[in-house]
Amino acid sequence: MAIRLEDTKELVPESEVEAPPSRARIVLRKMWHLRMGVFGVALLVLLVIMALFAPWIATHDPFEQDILERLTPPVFLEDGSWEHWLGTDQLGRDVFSRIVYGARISLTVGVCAVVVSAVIGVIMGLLAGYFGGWVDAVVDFSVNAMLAFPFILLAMTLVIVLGASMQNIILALGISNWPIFARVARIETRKLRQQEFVIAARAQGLNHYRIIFKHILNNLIAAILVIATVEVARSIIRETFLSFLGLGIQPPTPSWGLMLAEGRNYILTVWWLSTLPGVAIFLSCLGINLVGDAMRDLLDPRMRKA
Amino acid sequence: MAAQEEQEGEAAPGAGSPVLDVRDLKMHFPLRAGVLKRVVGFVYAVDGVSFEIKQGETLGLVGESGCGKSTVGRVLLKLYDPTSGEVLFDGRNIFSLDEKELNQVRQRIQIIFQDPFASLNPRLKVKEIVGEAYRVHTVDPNWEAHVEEVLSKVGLQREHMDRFPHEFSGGQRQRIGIARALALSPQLVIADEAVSALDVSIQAQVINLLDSLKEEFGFSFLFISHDLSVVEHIADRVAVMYLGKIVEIASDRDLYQTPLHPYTEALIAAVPRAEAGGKARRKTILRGDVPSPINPPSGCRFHTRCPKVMDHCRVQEPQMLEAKPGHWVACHLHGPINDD
Repeated sequence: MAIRLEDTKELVPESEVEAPPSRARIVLRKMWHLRMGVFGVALLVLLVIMALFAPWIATHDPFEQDILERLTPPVFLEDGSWEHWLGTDQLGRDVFSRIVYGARISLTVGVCAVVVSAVIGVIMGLLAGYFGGWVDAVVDFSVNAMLAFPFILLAMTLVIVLGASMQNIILALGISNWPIFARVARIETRKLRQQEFVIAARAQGLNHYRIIFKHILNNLIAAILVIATVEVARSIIRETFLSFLGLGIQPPTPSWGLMLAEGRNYILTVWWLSTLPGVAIFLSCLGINLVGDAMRDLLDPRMRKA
Repeated sequence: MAAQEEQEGEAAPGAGSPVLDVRDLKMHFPLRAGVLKRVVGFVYAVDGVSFEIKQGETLGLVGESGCGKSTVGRVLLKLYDPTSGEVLFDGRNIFSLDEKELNQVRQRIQIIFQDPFASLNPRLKVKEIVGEAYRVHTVDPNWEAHVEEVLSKVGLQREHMDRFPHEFSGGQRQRIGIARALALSPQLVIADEAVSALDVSIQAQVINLLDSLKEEFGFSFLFISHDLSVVEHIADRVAVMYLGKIVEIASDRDLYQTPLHPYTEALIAAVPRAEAGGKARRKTILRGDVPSPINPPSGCRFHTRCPKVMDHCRVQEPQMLEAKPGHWVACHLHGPINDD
């Protein structure tokens, strides 16, 4: 008797068709991570759009003062109006427009500071991990010294010495934050240096420079990218911190940290003035961190195989 | 630059002259302990090894794991800094070269590694893995064509060039590793347990490939393995290593048919084989483990496990002697005994 293809399909027990539970759990977890990642990407895209197209998105000039329209509430509160839908600050400037322009500052400072610290840190870590010996001792000592020194004190000192401008804030944040990159790069390099493919590269007569910046750096990029993403969020918060202390972005430039500081005087009565830029900081950092998490999962080869 | 030599233009040394001459090579790794990282002892991984490899010859280097045979392979390229000894490659001592000259020599000696997964950079494409050193050393704009040619020699195709190592099976990866070694047209190839990590069926394929490549390219070959049957198949001469020292060197046939050193005898007896009509071998079963290379036994290093141990074996270290023409052995059973 001939068995048709359709018949044989039904002969397969259902348990074999379904994936085993452990696998299902992995898939579910990936989906969950992916969903949070998508949410993070959405927040990040929003932030980037806000920064890039600030002049078109903002409803008002962020510097324009209007003494008659001071401290108006946002639209969702009593007496709020669509004219200034997130209200105005103590000088009558449109809060929404200032938050939009503030995204530019935050993103620029965050990304540039991380680039500075990643470049310094990764190069130091690569050299320390690869060569070992006294190079390693020097780098290791500087990393520990930097970590023992309170970050905010260092950044404050740098800003005071260099002067408070955006470039100097980037520099100060970048210089005070390289140890984390150096540490990761150093440990990963030490592991990679023992790998046979690095020994193979040496056996092929390739010079140290080529081995470090091609064979080892290549395998570090995923790890560095993940840290860099999370560090962008931290740098944004640190910029806010410096600005809040008056050592960061100087008025009247719209910076989220500065807005928080300025609103502080009115916190008991006009609470939204500080809260709204706070929400902006929170959402951007959340978005960036979620993207970082998702990236780690995607770039981690162990997760990728599952 | 004076050190830069044209690979093609160089006259091949006459057959029979040694390509590689290793003299009393020692590699002691310091053991450090404590807060101050004081040196508290040494691992005598390689302790006075001498041998030579002639042009076009295949030397098998066998021994149990941990006897230092892989270390020998790596020290030859100065991947570790040797404690003492000389390695003459084409008459020049590798250990006295500076970094640049050393990298020139390294092109002409290539290693095939044991683990086909760890020895390929996971982030580079096959063509980069195979062609990088060739591209850097020769500055050939047609390097991709060269890579393609080398890959075809090891049984891989053009379409494999743009793939990453994780897309290949173990046997294929080892072929990539072999192609990488051949891309620089080396004079000497060191195979460090090159087939040990592969399935038995694939082992045979890769060994046959190595055998035919050796014929085609005419390189000298140092084949390091713990597997005597594999070495028997491929080697012209075989050196047996025990605890950092070579105990016996002889031609393939001499060593397998009339082993002189009790350790060699025991190793050969341990290889399972079906020989119809062959004379039955005396079974020598070794007892005990290999002693630690940190604190090797006095006298003959094998005396703790040797079935034919004599009193003076424990005190006096046997010298390497030519027991028969071309058959060298370091054992008191086969040499004059000094009773002082």
